[in-house]
Amino acid sequence: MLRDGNEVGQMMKVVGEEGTPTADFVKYLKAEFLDSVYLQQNTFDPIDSACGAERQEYMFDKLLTVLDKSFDFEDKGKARSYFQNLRQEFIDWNYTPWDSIDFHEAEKKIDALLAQA
Amino acid sequence: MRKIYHRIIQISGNVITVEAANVANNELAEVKSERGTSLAQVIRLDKSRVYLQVFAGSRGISTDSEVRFLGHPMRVSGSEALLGRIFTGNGSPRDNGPALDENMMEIGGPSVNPANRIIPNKMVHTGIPMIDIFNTLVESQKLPIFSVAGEPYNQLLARIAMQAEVDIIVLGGMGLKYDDYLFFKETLDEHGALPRTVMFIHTASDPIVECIQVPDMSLAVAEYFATELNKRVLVLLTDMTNFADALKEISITMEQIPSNRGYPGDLYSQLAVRYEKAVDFAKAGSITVLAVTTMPGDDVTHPIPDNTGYITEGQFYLRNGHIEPFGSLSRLKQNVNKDTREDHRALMDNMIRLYSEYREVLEKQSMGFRMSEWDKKLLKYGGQFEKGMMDLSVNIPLFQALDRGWSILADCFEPQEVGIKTDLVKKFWPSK
Repeated sequence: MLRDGNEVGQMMKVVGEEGTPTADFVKYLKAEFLDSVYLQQNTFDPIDSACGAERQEYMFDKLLTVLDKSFDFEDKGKARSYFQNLRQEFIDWNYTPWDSIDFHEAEKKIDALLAQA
Repeated sequence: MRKIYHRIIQISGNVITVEAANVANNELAEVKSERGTSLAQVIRLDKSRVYLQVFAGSRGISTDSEVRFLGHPMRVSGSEALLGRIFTGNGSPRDNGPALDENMMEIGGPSVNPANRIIPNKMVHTGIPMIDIFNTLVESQKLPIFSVAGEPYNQLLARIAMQAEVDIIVLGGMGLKYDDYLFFKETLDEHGALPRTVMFIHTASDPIVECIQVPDMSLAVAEYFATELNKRVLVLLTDMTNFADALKEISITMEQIPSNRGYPGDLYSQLAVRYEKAVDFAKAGSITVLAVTTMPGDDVTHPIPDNTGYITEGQFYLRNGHIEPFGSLSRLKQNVNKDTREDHRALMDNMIRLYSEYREVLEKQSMGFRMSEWDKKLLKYGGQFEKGMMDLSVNIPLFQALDRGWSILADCFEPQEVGIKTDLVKKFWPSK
Protein backbone atom coordinates (compact mmCIF):
# COMPACT_ATOMS: atom_id res chain seq x y z
CA MET A 1 0.00 0.00 0.00
CA LEU A 2 2.68 2.49 1.09
CA ARG A 3 4.93 1.44 -1.78
CA ASP A 4 2.15 1.84 -4.33
CA GLY A 5 1.17 5.23 -2.92
CA ASN A 6 4.77 6.38 -2.98
CA GLU A 7 5.11 5.22 -6.57
CA VAL A 8 2.11 7.31 -7.57
CA GLY A 9 3.58 10.25 -5.64
CA GLN A 10 6.86 9.91 -7.54
CA MET A 11 4.97 9.57 -10.80
CA MET A 12 3.01 12.75 -10.07
CA LYS A 13 6.29 14.63 -9.79
CA VAL A 14 6.96 13.65 -13.40
CA VAL A 15 3.55 13.81 -15.06
CA GLY A 16 1.81 16.22 -12.69
CA GLU A 17 -1.42 15.82 -10.79
CA GLU A 18 -3.50 16.43 -13.91
CA GLY A 19 -1.80 13.57 -15.74
CA THR A 20 -2.61 11.03 -13.02
CA PRO A 21 -5.80 8.93 -13.17
CA THR A 22 -8.14 9.58 -10.23
CA ALA A 23 -7.95 5.92 -9.19
CA ASP A 24 -4.16 6.21 -8.79
CA PHE A 25 -4.54 9.52 -7.04
CA VAL A 26 -6.84 7.88 -4.47
CA LYS A 27 -4.18 5.20 -3.94
CA TYR A 28 -1.74 7.97 -3.15
CA LEU A 29 -4.19 9.64 -0.75
CA LYS A 30 -4.83 6.33 1.02
CA ALA A 31 -1.12 5.77 1.57
CA GLU A 32 -0.65 9.29 2.91
CA PHE A 33 -3.67 8.76 5.12
CA LEU A 34 -2.29 5.50 6.56
CA ASP A 35 0.98 7.24 7.29
CA SER A 36 -0.48 10.30 8.99
CA VAL A 37 -3.13 8.69 11.19
CA TYR A 38 -1.65 5.28 12.00
CA LEU A 39 2.11 5.19 11.53
CA GLN A 40 2.70 8.60 13.03
CA GLN A 41 2.15 8.76 16.76
CA ASN A 42 2.43 11.76 19.01
CA THR A 43 4.95 10.68 21.67
CA PHE A 44 4.17 13.75 23.72
CA ASP A 45 0.49 12.93 24.11
CA PRO A 46 -0.37 10.69 27.10
CA ILE A 47 -2.99 8.72 25.12
CA ASP A 48 -1.46 8.58 21.68
CA SER A 49 2.05 7.75 22.92
CA ALA A 50 1.03 4.40 24.42
CA CYS A 51 -1.69 2.56 22.58
CA GLY A 52 -2.82 -0.83 23.93
CA ALA A 53 -2.96 -3.91 21.67
CA GLU A 54 -6.71 -4.18 21.94
CA ARG A 55 -7.21 -0.58 20.86
CA GLN A 56 -4.66 -0.90 18.12
CA GLU A 57 -6.40 -3.92 16.64
CA TYR A 58 -9.76 -2.22 16.84
CA MET A 59 -8.54 0.94 15.17
CA PHE A 60 -6.57 -0.94 12.56
CA ASP A 61 -9.74 -2.76 11.53
CA LYS A 62 -11.43 0.58 10.99
CA LEU A 63 -8.42 1.75 9.06
CA LEU A 64 -8.59 -1.34 6.86
CA THR A 65 -12.19 -0.61 5.95
CA VAL A 66 -11.00 2.77 4.67
CA LEU A 67 -8.07 1.31 2.78
CA ASP A 68 -10.13 -1.52 1.25
CA LYS A 69 -13.09 0.68 0.36
CA SER A 70 -13.42 1.72 -3.26
CA PHE A 71 -14.20 5.39 -3.65
CA ASP A 72 -15.75 7.17 -6.57
CA PHE A 73 -14.90 10.86 -6.56
CA GLU A 74 -15.97 13.45 -9.09
CA ASP A 75 -12.55 15.05 -9.19
CA LYS A 76 -9.23 15.10 -7.36
CA GLY A 77 -10.04 18.21 -5.37
CA LYS A 78 -13.09 16.46 -3.86
CA ALA A 79 -11.00 13.35 -3.15
CA ARG A 80 -8.31 15.36 -1.42
CA SER A 81 -10.71 17.29 0.78
CA TYR A 82 -12.60 14.08 1.66
CA PHE A 83 -9.40 12.47 2.88
CA GLN A 84 -8.43 15.63 4.74
CA ASN A 85 -11.74 15.48 6.61
CA LEU A 86 -11.23 11.79 7.30
CA ARG A 87 -7.71 12.43 8.56
CA GLN A 88 -9.00 15.11 10.91
CA GLU A 89 -11.60 12.71 12.38
CA PHE A 90 -9.01 9.95 12.83
CA ILE A 91 -6.53 12.33 14.48
CA ASP A 92 -9.21 13.39 16.97
CA TRP A 93 -10.11 9.73 17.47
CA ASN A 94 -6.46 8.93 18.29
CA TYR A 95 -6.54 11.40 21.16
CA THR A 96 -9.70 10.06 22.86
CA PRO A 97 -9.36 7.66 25.84
CA TRP A 98 -10.03 3.99 24.97
CA ASP A 99 -13.68 2.93 25.20
CA SER A 100 -14.79 6.34 26.52
CA ILE A 101 -17.89 8.24 25.43
CA ASP A 102 -15.70 10.52 23.32
CA PHE A 103 -14.12 7.48 21.70
CA HIS A 104 -17.46 6.15 20.52
CA GLU A 105 -18.69 9.58 19.47
CA ALA A 106 -15.59 10.06 17.31
CA GLU A 107 -16.10 6.61 15.82
CA LYS A 108 -19.68 7.48 14.93
CA LYS A 109 -18.48 10.57 13.09
CA ILE A 110 -16.03 8.47 11.10
CA ASP A 111 -18.73 5.94 10.24
CA ALA A 112 -21.01 8.73 9.08
CA LEU A 113 -18.25 10.14 6.89
CA LEU A 114 -17.53 6.71 5.45
CA ALA A 115 -21.24 6.20 4.69
CA GLN A 116 -21.26 9.39 2.62
CA ALA A 117 -18.77 8.14 0.07
CA MET B 1 62.30 37.56 42.89
CA ARG B 2 61.78 35.66 39.69
CA LYS B 3 64.63 34.58 37.47
CA ILE B 4 65.25 36.33 34.19
CA TYR B 5 66.40 34.05 31.39
CA HIS B 6 68.39 35.59 28.61
CA ARG B 7 69.60 32.61 26.63
CA ILE B 8 67.10 31.74 23.97
CA ILE B 9 68.28 28.56 22.30
CA GLN B 10 65.89 28.44 19.40
CA ILE B 11 63.53 30.77 17.53
CA SER B 12 61.24 29.14 14.99
CA GLY B 13 58.26 31.04 13.71
CA ASN B 14 56.67 32.67 16.72
CA VAL B 15 57.88 29.99 19.08
CA ILE B 16 60.98 30.56 21.19
CA THR B 17 62.74 27.96 23.35
CA VAL B 18 64.60 28.51 26.62
CA GLU B 19 66.08 26.17 29.21
CA ALA B 20 64.29 26.82 32.49
CA ALA B 21 63.23 25.02 35.65
CA ASN B 22 59.93 25.01 37.58
CA VAL B 23 57.77 26.20 34.73
CA ALA B 24 54.24 24.94 34.19
CA ASN B 25 52.33 24.38 30.98
CA ASN B 26 50.20 27.38 29.90
CA GLU B 27 52.22 29.66 32.17
CA LEU B 28 52.73 33.20 30.95
CA ALA B 29 56.04 34.98 30.47
CA GLU B 30 57.15 38.42 29.42
CA VAL B 31 59.63 38.64 26.59
CA LYS B 32 61.60 41.85 26.40
CA SER B 33 63.30 42.71 23.13
CA GLU B 34 64.39 45.84 21.37
CA ARG B 35 60.90 46.22 19.94
CA GLY B 36 59.25 46.25 23.33
CA THR B 37 57.70 43.78 25.74
CA SER B 38 55.30 41.04 24.69
CA LEU B 39 53.44 38.33 26.50
CA ALA B 40 54.28 34.73 25.69
CA GLN B 41 52.69 31.48 26.77
CA VAL B 42 54.23 28.09 27.48
CA ILE B 43 52.84 25.70 24.92
CA ARG B 44 55.16 22.73 25.32
CA LEU B 45 57.58 21.32 27.90
CA ASP B 46 60.33 18.90 27.00
CA LYS B 47 62.49 18.09 30.04
CA SER B 48 64.13 21.42 30.86
CA ARG B 49 63.25 22.93 27.51
CA VAL B 50 60.37 25.35 27.54
CA TYR B 51 58.63 26.34 24.31
CA LEU B 52 56.89 29.69 24.35
CA GLN B 53 54.47 31.16 21.85
CA VAL B 54 55.21 34.89 21.66
CA PHE B 55 51.96 36.82 21.27
CA ALA B 56 53.35 39.72 19.29
CA GLY B 57 55.44 37.45 17.09
CA SER B 58 59.17 36.77 17.20
CA ARG B 59 60.20 39.73 15.11
CA GLY B 60 62.89 41.74 16.91
CA ILE B 61 63.69 38.96 19.37
CA SER B 62 67.31 37.93 19.50
CA THR B 63 68.95 35.04 21.34
CA ASP B 64 69.85 37.31 24.27
CA SER B 65 66.38 38.82 24.74
CA GLU B 66 65.02 38.62 28.28
CA VAL B 67 62.38 36.10 29.28
CA ARG B 68 60.70 36.44 32.66
CA PHE B 69 58.10 33.88 33.78
CA LEU B 70 55.12 35.31 35.61
CA GLY B 71 54.27 32.15 37.57
CA HIS B 72 50.62 31.99 36.51
CA PRO B 73 48.60 31.20 33.38
CA MET B 74 46.42 33.73 31.59
CA ARG B 75 44.06 35.51 33.99
CA VAL B 76 41.08 37.79 33.74
CA SER B 77 39.47 40.07 36.28
CA GLY B 78 36.19 38.87 37.79
CA SER B 79 34.21 41.97 38.67
CA GLU B 80 31.13 43.90 37.68
CA ALA B 81 33.42 46.54 36.23
CA LEU B 82 33.69 44.25 33.18
CA LEU B 83 30.20 45.19 32.04
CA GLY B 84 30.08 47.51 29.07
CA ARG B 85 33.80 46.99 28.44
CA ILE B 86 35.68 45.70 25.40
CA PHE B 87 38.93 43.75 25.69
CA THR B 88 41.39 42.05 23.40
CA GLY B 89 42.07 38.32 23.43
CA ASN B 90 44.80 38.79 26.06
CA GLY B 91 42.51 40.73 28.36
CA SER B 92 43.86 44.24 27.84
CA PRO B 93 41.35 47.03 27.18
CA ARG B 94 40.44 47.76 23.59
CA ASP B 95 38.15 50.67 24.47
CA ASN B 96 40.70 53.06 26.05
CA GLY B 97 39.23 52.33 29.48
CA PRO B 98 41.35 51.40 32.49
CA ALA B 99 42.88 47.92 32.79
CA LEU B 100 41.17 45.79 35.45
CA ASP B 101 43.21 43.91 38.05
CA GLU B 102 40.62 43.22 40.73
CA ASN B 103 39.94 39.55 41.66
CA MET B 104 42.12 37.99 38.96
CA MET B 105 40.86 34.52 37.93
CA GLU B 106 42.67 31.89 35.91
CA ILE B 107 41.02 31.11 32.59
CA GLY B 108 40.57 27.70 31.01
CA GLY B 109 39.71 25.86 34.22
CA PRO B 110 37.83 22.57 34.32
CA SER B 111 34.14 22.50 33.40
CA VAL B 112 31.49 22.11 36.09
CA ASN B 113 31.07 18.80 37.92
CA PRO B 114 28.12 17.02 36.28
CA ALA B 115 26.65 16.26 39.73
CA ASN B 116 26.19 19.97 40.35
CA ARG B 117 24.25 20.49 37.14
CA ILE B 118 20.50 20.41 36.75
CA ILE B 119 18.53 19.18 33.77
CA PRO B 120 17.95 22.16 31.47
CA ASN B 121 14.37 23.32 31.92
CA LYS B 122 14.13 27.04 31.21
CA MET B 123 13.45 28.62 27.87
CA VAL B 124 15.48 31.53 26.54
CA HIS B 125 13.17 33.95 24.73
CA THR B 126 14.83 35.54 21.73
CA GLY B 127 11.93 37.19 19.92
CA ILE B 128 12.91 35.31 16.76
CA PRO B 129 10.00 32.98 15.81
CA MET B 130 12.23 30.47 13.98
CA ILE B 131 14.02 29.93 17.30
CA ASP B 132 11.27 30.51 19.87
CA ILE B 133 8.57 28.42 18.17
CA PHE B 134 10.38 25.91 16.03
CA ASN B 135 13.72 25.30 17.73
CA THR B 136 13.50 26.73 21.20
CA LEU B 137 16.76 27.77 22.82
CA VAL B 138 17.10 26.40 26.36
CA GLU B 139 19.16 27.83 29.19
CA SER B 140 22.53 26.01 29.44
CA GLN B 141 22.25 24.69 25.90
CA LYS B 142 25.26 24.73 23.61
CA LEU B 143 24.25 25.34 20.00
CA PRO B 144 26.28 26.17 16.93
CA ILE B 145 25.02 28.32 14.08
CA PHE B 146 26.30 26.57 10.96
CA SER B 147 26.69 29.11 8.23
CA VAL B 148 28.75 30.13 5.24
CA ALA B 149 30.93 33.16 4.67
CA GLY B 150 28.74 35.99 3.41
CA GLU B 151 25.63 35.03 5.38
CA PRO B 152 24.42 37.55 7.98
CA TYR B 153 25.49 35.47 10.98
CA ASN B 154 26.98 38.42 12.84
CA GLN B 155 23.76 40.36 12.29
CA LEU B 156 21.85 37.40 13.71
CA LEU B 157 24.14 37.24 16.75
CA ALA B 158 23.74 40.97 17.31
CA ARG B 159 19.93 40.60 17.17
CA ILE B 160 20.07 37.80 19.69
CA ALA B 161 22.36 39.89 21.92
CA MET B 162 19.84 42.74 21.85
CA GLN B 163 16.67 40.71 22.19
CA ALA B 164 17.47 37.63 24.29
CA GLU B 165 15.91 37.63 27.74
CA VAL B 166 19.07 36.97 29.74
CA ASP B 167 20.98 39.02 32.31
CA ILE B 168 24.45 39.18 30.78
CA ILE B 169 25.83 38.82 27.27
CA VAL B 170 29.45 37.83 26.75
CA LEU B 171 30.53 38.28 23.16
CA GLY B 172 33.71 36.55 22.00
CA GLY B 173 34.91 37.59 18.55
CA MET B 174 37.63 35.57 16.86
CA GLY B 175 39.35 36.69 13.67
CA LEU B 176 36.73 39.40 13.18
CA LYS B 177 37.06 41.91 10.42
CA TYR B 178 37.45 45.37 11.88
CA ASP B 179 34.13 46.32 10.25
CA ASP B 180 32.38 43.49 12.06
CA TYR B 181 33.89 44.56 15.36
CA LEU B 182 32.63 48.12 14.83
CA PHE B 183 29.23 46.76 13.75
CA PHE B 184 28.84 44.83 17.01
CA LYS B 185 30.02 47.74 19.10
CA GLU B 186 27.79 50.29 17.42
CA THR B 187 24.70 48.11 17.15
CA LEU B 188 24.79 47.06 20.80
CA ASP B 189 25.48 50.64 21.88
CA GLU B 190 22.64 52.03 19.77
CA HIS B 191 20.14 49.58 21.23
CA GLY B 192 21.30 50.09 24.79
CA ALA B 193 22.58 46.53 25.17
CA LEU B 194 26.19 47.52 25.84
CA PRO B 195 25.79 47.98 29.62
CA ARG B 196 24.93 44.30 30.03
CA THR B 197 27.62 43.13 27.62
CA VAL B 198 31.27 42.16 27.97
CA MET B 199 33.24 41.82 24.74
CA PHE B 200 36.47 39.99 24.04
CA ILE B 201 37.47 40.81 20.51
CA HIS B 202 40.28 39.35 18.47
CA THR B 203 40.46 40.87 15.03
CA ALA B 204 42.06 39.26 12.01
CA SER B 205 45.15 41.49 12.41
CA ASP B 206 45.82 40.52 16.05
CA PRO B 207 48.24 37.78 17.16
CA ILE B 208 47.00 34.24 16.52
CA VAL B 209 47.43 33.06 20.14
CA GLU B 210 45.00 35.67 21.34
CA CYS B 211 42.38 34.09 19.11
CA ILE B 212 42.65 30.88 21.11
CA GLN B 213 42.29 32.79 24.37
CA VAL B 214 39.00 34.43 23.38
CA PRO B 215 36.62 31.53 24.18
CA ASP B 216 38.45 30.79 27.45
CA MET B 217 38.35 34.45 28.48
CA SER B 218 34.67 34.75 27.59
CA LEU B 219 33.71 31.54 29.39
CA ALA B 220 35.73 32.35 32.51
CA VAL B 221 33.91 35.68 32.76
CA ALA B 222 30.59 33.91 32.10
CA GLU B 223 31.36 31.46 34.93
CA TYR B 224 32.08 34.36 37.25
CA PHE B 225 28.73 36.01 36.55
CA ALA B 226 26.81 32.72 36.70
CA THR B 227 28.31 31.41 39.93
CA GLU B 228 29.18 34.52 41.93
CA LEU B 229 26.31 36.78 40.93
CA ASN B 230 23.67 34.17 39.95
CA LYS B 231 23.19 35.68 36.52
CA ARG B 232 21.79 34.00 33.43
CA VAL B 233 24.63 34.45 30.95
CA LEU B 234 24.51 34.03 27.19
CA VAL B 235 27.91 33.55 25.54
CA LEU B 236 28.02 34.39 21.84
CA LEU B 237 31.09 33.23 19.94
CA THR B 238 31.95 34.12 16.36
CA ASP B 239 33.60 32.48 14.49
CA MET B 240 34.70 29.08 15.87
CA THR B 241 36.20 28.21 12.49
CA ASN B 242 38.81 30.93 13.01
CA PHE B 243 39.47 29.46 16.45
CA ALA B 244 40.06 26.01 14.97
CA ASP B 245 42.27 27.48 12.25
CA ALA B 246 44.35 29.22 14.91
CA LEU B 247 44.74 25.88 16.71
CA LYS B 248 45.86 24.37 13.44
CA GLU B 249 48.42 27.06 12.84
CA ILE B 250 49.95 26.63 16.27
CA SER B 251 49.97 22.87 16.19
CA ILE B 252 51.83 23.00 12.91
CA THR B 253 54.51 25.34 14.28
CA MET B 254 54.76 22.87 17.15
CA GLU B 255 55.44 20.16 14.58
CA GLN B 256 52.57 18.05 15.86
CA ILE B 257 51.44 15.33 13.51
CA PRO B 258 48.50 16.79 11.61
CA SER B 259 45.22 14.93 11.61
CA ASN B 260 42.18 15.28 9.33
CA ARG B 261 42.79 18.11 6.80
CA GLY B 262 45.73 19.45 8.81
CA TYR B 263 43.77 20.12 11.99
CA PRO B 264 45.30 18.90 15.26
CA GLY B 265 44.28 15.43 16.41
CA ASP B 266 42.74 16.84 19.57
CA LEU B 267 40.40 19.23 17.72
CA TYR B 268 37.36 17.45 19.18
CA SER B 269 38.65 17.78 22.76
CA GLN B 270 39.68 21.39 22.23
CA LEU B 271 36.17 22.26 21.06
CA ALA B 272 34.47 20.14 23.73
CA VAL B 273 36.46 21.77 26.55
CA ARG B 274 34.92 25.09 25.53
CA TYR B 275 31.38 23.98 24.69
CA GLU B 276 31.04 21.87 27.84
CA LYS B 277 31.25 25.01 29.95
CA ALA B 278 27.56 25.51 29.24
CA VAL B 279 25.73 24.73 32.48
CA ASP B 280 22.64 25.36 34.56
CA PHE B 281 22.85 25.41 38.37
CA ALA B 282 20.05 24.80 40.84
CA LYS B 283 21.08 27.63 43.13
CA ALA B 284 23.00 29.92 40.80
CA GLY B 285 22.78 31.28 37.28
CA SER B 286 23.40 29.54 33.99
CA ILE B 287 25.66 29.67 30.93
CA THR B 288 24.20 29.24 27.45
CA VAL B 289 26.54 29.07 24.46
CA LEU B 290 25.68 30.07 20.88
CA ALA B 291 28.64 29.80 18.53
CA VAL B 292 28.91 30.58 14.84
CA THR B 293 30.76 27.99 12.77
CA THR B 294 31.26 28.97 9.16
CA MET B 295 31.55 25.84 7.08
CA PRO B 296 34.33 26.10 4.50
CA GLY B 297 32.73 25.47 1.11
CA ASP B 298 29.32 24.92 2.78
CA ASP B 299 30.58 21.43 3.63
CA VAL B 300 29.04 19.99 6.79
CA THR B 301 31.48 17.05 6.71
CA HIS B 302 34.45 19.42 7.14
CA PRO B 303 36.28 18.50 10.40
CA ILE B 304 35.19 21.66 12.25
CA PRO B 305 31.39 21.39 11.81
CA ASP B 306 31.64 17.61 11.96
CA ASN B 307 33.38 17.54 15.35
CA THR B 308 31.19 20.39 16.60
CA GLY B 309 28.05 18.43 15.75
CA TYR B 310 29.07 15.59 18.07
CA ILE B 311 29.40 17.96 21.03
CA THR B 312 26.51 20.37 20.75
CA GLU B 313 22.83 19.83 21.39
CA GLY B 314 21.57 20.46 17.85
CA GLN B 315 22.38 23.20 15.38
CA PHE B 316 20.91 26.14 13.52
CA TYR B 317 21.57 26.39 9.81
CA LEU B 318 21.74 29.95 8.57
CA ARG B 319 21.30 29.90 4.82
CA ASN B 320 20.01 32.37 2.24
CA GLY B 321 19.55 34.92 4.98
CA HIS B 322 17.22 32.92 7.21
CA ILE B 323 17.31 30.11 9.75
CA GLU B 324 16.53 26.97 7.78
CA PRO B 325 13.39 25.20 9.03
CA PHE B 326 14.80 21.86 7.88
CA GLY B 327 18.02 20.57 9.41
CA SER B 328 17.97 23.12 12.20
CA LEU B 329 17.32 21.39 15.49
CA SER B 330 17.33 22.21 19.15
CA ARG B 331 17.66 18.86 20.93
CA LEU B 332 16.50 20.34 24.21
CA LYS B 333 13.33 22.00 22.93
CA GLN B 334 11.06 19.24 24.22
CA ASN B 335 12.26 20.02 27.75
CA VAL B 336 10.58 23.40 27.59
CA ASN B 337 7.97 23.61 24.84
CA LYS B 338 5.44 21.56 26.80
CA ASP B 339 5.13 24.30 29.39
CA THR B 340 4.74 27.34 27.16
CA ARG B 341 1.26 27.09 25.68
CA GLU B 342 -0.77 23.98 24.82
CA ASP B 343 -0.78 24.74 21.10
CA HIS B 344 2.99 25.24 20.83
CA ARG B 345 3.95 21.70 19.78
CA ALA B 346 1.01 21.10 17.46
CA LEU B 347 1.61 24.41 15.72
CA MET B 348 5.35 23.73 15.45
CA ASP B 349 4.85 20.28 13.88
CA ASN B 350 2.11 21.17 11.46
CA MET B 351 3.42 24.52 10.25
CA ILE B 352 6.71 22.87 9.31
CA ARG B 353 4.92 19.97 7.63
CA LEU B 354 2.83 22.36 5.56
CA TYR B 355 5.93 24.39 4.72
CA SER B 356 7.65 21.28 3.39
CA GLU B 357 4.58 20.57 1.26
CA TYR B 358 4.92 24.12 -0.02
CA ARG B 359 8.53 23.41 -1.01
CA GLU B 360 7.33 20.39 -3.00
CA VAL B 361 4.72 22.51 -4.74
CA LEU B 362 7.43 25.01 -5.68
CA GLU B 363 9.32 22.19 -7.37
CA LYS B 364 6.18 21.19 -9.22
CA GLN B 365 5.57 24.77 -10.24
CA SER B 366 9.10 25.18 -11.56
CA MET B 367 8.49 22.19 -13.81
CA GLY B 368 5.48 23.92 -15.30
CA PHE B 369 2.63 21.80 -13.93
CA ARG B 370 -0.81 23.29 -13.46
CA MET B 371 -1.48 24.27 -9.87
CA SER B 372 -4.48 22.65 -8.20
CA GLU B 373 -6.62 24.51 -5.67
CA TRP B 374 -4.67 22.88 -2.86
CA ASP B 375 -1.34 23.83 -4.46
CA LYS B 376 -2.48 27.44 -4.65
CA LYS B 377 -3.34 27.40 -0.95
CA LEU B 378 0.11 26.04 -0.14
CA LEU B 379 1.78 28.69 -2.30
CA LYS B 380 -0.07 31.41 -0.43
CA TYR B 381 0.86 29.81 2.87
CA GLY B 382 4.56 29.45 1.97
CA GLY B 383 4.80 33.12 1.07
CA GLN B 384 3.18 34.23 4.32
CA PHE B 385 5.28 31.82 6.38
CA GLU B 386 8.51 33.16 4.91
CA LYS B 387 7.47 36.76 5.43
CA GLY B 388 5.84 36.44 8.84
CA MET B 389 8.06 33.83 10.49
CA MET B 390 11.34 33.20 8.69
CA ASP B 391 12.39 36.76 7.95
CA LEU B 392 15.20 37.63 10.37
CA SER B 393 13.84 41.11 10.99
CA VAL B 394 10.71 39.67 12.64
CA ASN B 395 10.93 40.39 16.36
CA ILE B 396 7.85 39.28 18.33
CA PRO B 397 7.39 37.50 21.65
CA LEU B 398 6.49 33.78 21.64
CA PHE B 399 2.74 34.02 22.32
CA GLN B 400 2.32 36.71 19.68
CA ALA B 401 4.29 34.54 17.26
CA LEU B 402 2.00 31.58 18.00
CA ASP B 403 -1.04 33.78 17.40
CA ARG B 404 0.50 34.91 14.14
CA GLY B 405 0.96 31.24 13.22
CA TRP B 406 -2.75 30.61 13.72
CA SER B 407 -3.73 33.67 11.71
CA ILE B 408 -1.49 32.60 8.83
CA LEU B 409 -3.11 29.14 8.90
CA ALA B 410 -6.61 30.60 9.08
CA ASP B 411 -5.84 32.96 6.23
CA CYS B 412 -4.75 30.13 3.93
CA PHE B 413 -6.61 26.98 4.98
CA GLU B 414 -9.81 25.49 6.35
CA PRO B 415 -9.48 24.08 9.89
CA GLN B 416 -9.71 20.40 8.81
CA GLU B 417 -6.92 20.89 6.27
CA VAL B 418 -4.10 21.60 8.72
CA GLY B 419 -4.13 18.32 10.68
CA ILE B 420 -4.25 19.81 14.18
CA LYS B 421 -6.63 18.18 16.64
CA THR B 422 -10.05 19.75 16.94
CA ASP B 423 -9.76 20.79 20.62
CA LEU B 424 -6.90 23.13 19.79
CA VAL B 425 -8.48 24.35 16.58
CA LYS B 426 -11.69 25.26 18.46
CA LYS B 427 -9.71 27.18 21.05
CA PHE B 428 -7.18 29.01 18.87
CA TRP B 429 -8.55 29.24 15.31
CA PRO B 430 -9.17 32.96 14.72
CA SER B 431 -12.80 33.69 13.83
CA LYS B 432 -13.16 35.60 10.61
